[in-house]
Amino acid sequence: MEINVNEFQARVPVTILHFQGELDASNYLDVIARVKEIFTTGTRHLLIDMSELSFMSSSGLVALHSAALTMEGKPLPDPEHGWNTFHSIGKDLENGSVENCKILNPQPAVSRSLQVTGFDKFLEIFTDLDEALASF
Amino acid sequence: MSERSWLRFDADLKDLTAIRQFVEDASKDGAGDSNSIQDMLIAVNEAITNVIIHGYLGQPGMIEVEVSYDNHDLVVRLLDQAPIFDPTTVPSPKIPPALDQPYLGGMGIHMMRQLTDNMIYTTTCDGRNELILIKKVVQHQRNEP
Repeated sequence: MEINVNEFQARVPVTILHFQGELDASNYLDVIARVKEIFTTGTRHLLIDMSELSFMSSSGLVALHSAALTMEGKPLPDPEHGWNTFHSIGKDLENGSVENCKILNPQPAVSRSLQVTGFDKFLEIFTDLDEALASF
Repeated sequence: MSERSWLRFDADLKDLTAIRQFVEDASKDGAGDSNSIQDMLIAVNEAITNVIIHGYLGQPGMIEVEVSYDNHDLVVRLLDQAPIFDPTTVPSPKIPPALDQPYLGGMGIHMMRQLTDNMIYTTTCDGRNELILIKKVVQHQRNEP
């Protein structure tokens, strides 16, 4: 999967990570690493463009959760710790949606993964770029 | 029972894309609707990922994947030689999960349950894990070439 980075100036600076390809257990750690990298260089508002992401597994959800925590400045659970990670995600799902990490245009297959795990309640999802940028 | 498509893969995360492509192509040869096929793809991917990571623990191994239709059901059969493990015995997680939930496949098994209509596990007479995933499909007219 390719990850492209673009910066937009909305009300605040917003970084858009554009995923192209498929996100699964073979590459989800790349996403976590990339988000940590851009946070280190100053990104505080992240929009993940999934318009060209054709598949996402549970590992991708772990990466999204890590991205959200990173943007909130929170420590990350160990992504290798399966159920403990899921528990952490579950607690965050209870707390409602995240402010600094959002999703743009997930394809139907990806939406399905988000929906059956409750991630559609955890991360705000947009279908319009301008609306997404304005929401930060 | 329709024709079966069968392939053997290395238990390697790098092969996940190829496995998904095989299952998708074989499923589309039948009369299943795209939503059901997509759900099955996600479930199969989760099952195989769990075998690779938690079954074989990242060590070399083989996974056999068979795709077929049985009347209105899309059926995917997975066989592996990892240590015996029955994923159907994992209790359904609470969303959000409780503090004392044991460490097992995590969200993957939850997604498998949500996205299939049935999961059947057995051990074969030669000691392999066999997991059968079943998804009821909406039949549609196949386009003839």
